[in-house]
Amino acid sequence: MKSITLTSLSIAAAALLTLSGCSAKGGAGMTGYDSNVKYGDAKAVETLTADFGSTDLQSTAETMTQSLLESRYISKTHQTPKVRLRTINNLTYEHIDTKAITDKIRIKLLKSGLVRFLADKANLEEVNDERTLTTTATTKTKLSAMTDADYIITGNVRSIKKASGDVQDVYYNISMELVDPQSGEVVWADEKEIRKVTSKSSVGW
Amino acid sequence: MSPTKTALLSLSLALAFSGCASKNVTIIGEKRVDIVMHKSFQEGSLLKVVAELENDDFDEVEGFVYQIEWYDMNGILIESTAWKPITIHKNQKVQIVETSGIPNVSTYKIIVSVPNK
Repeated sequence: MKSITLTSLSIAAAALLTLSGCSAKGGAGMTGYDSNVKYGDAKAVETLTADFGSTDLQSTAETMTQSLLESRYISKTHQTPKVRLRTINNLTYEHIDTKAITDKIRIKLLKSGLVRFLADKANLEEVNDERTLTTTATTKTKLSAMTDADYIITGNVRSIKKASGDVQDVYYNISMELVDPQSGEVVWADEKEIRKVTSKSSVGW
Repeated sequence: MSPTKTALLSLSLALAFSGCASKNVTIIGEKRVDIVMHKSFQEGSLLKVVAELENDDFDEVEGFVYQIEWYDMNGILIESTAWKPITIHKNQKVQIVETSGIPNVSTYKIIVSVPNK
């Protein structure tokens, strides 16, 4: 009887310890509950400064993707077009990672299933390394030639900044083009315009 | 075509194009903006949504954000747009157009978030 009571007590104690095991604040799977760091909505509108930010990156990528998908050179073709990303030139005075814009557009276009992408400048070196390795160190000695792009994507990011007193006005213009490299013909072009106004005297947008 | 069939066809067409079920719209915060109309079209494999938003205030310019969620036929959320800022001048309407970037979207939800003043 005594052993049963002891066993029951140990089970109860173990259960209590397991359940109350959240001695660290925040519960299971959380640490640093009291810290000042909080997770936010990655898609929320960010207005901390007038610089090119996450909201501008996301809205530009979405607008351009939607416009591209409506282009007849993408949506109304018999064969899924093969596209290669080229450089988006940053012609502004601030640092903008334009590759982030094109990468986001590429992800969205690939998800649509209406476009195929070829390796671009950034990962072509890796592809070539792999091909060299294949021909030298593995049994597959013959490689097929890489395919040509039906279209390339290029573009520019420009900005105009003006300030007067406490008010600063920033205008961004992101333009992109879809070019047929065989003919040099620009078959699609679109732009995204963004205006941001900051004022020291008031908070908001 | 019989008058009954014509009436039924007109009704189904009207329902298909109006698409203004309130379950497709959520307004968070103060309701200072109205979603006057919204409808969707199938464009190839993608779904296109058009909505008209109105600021019926004669005195204030409204700045707010909106997002569109895309659902598949099972009601599962498969994608959402980023929150996008938009400004509507006094007593004006603005039309927003968004296309789902992915196929197999069967329905959508427009979420409008209006900041407190």
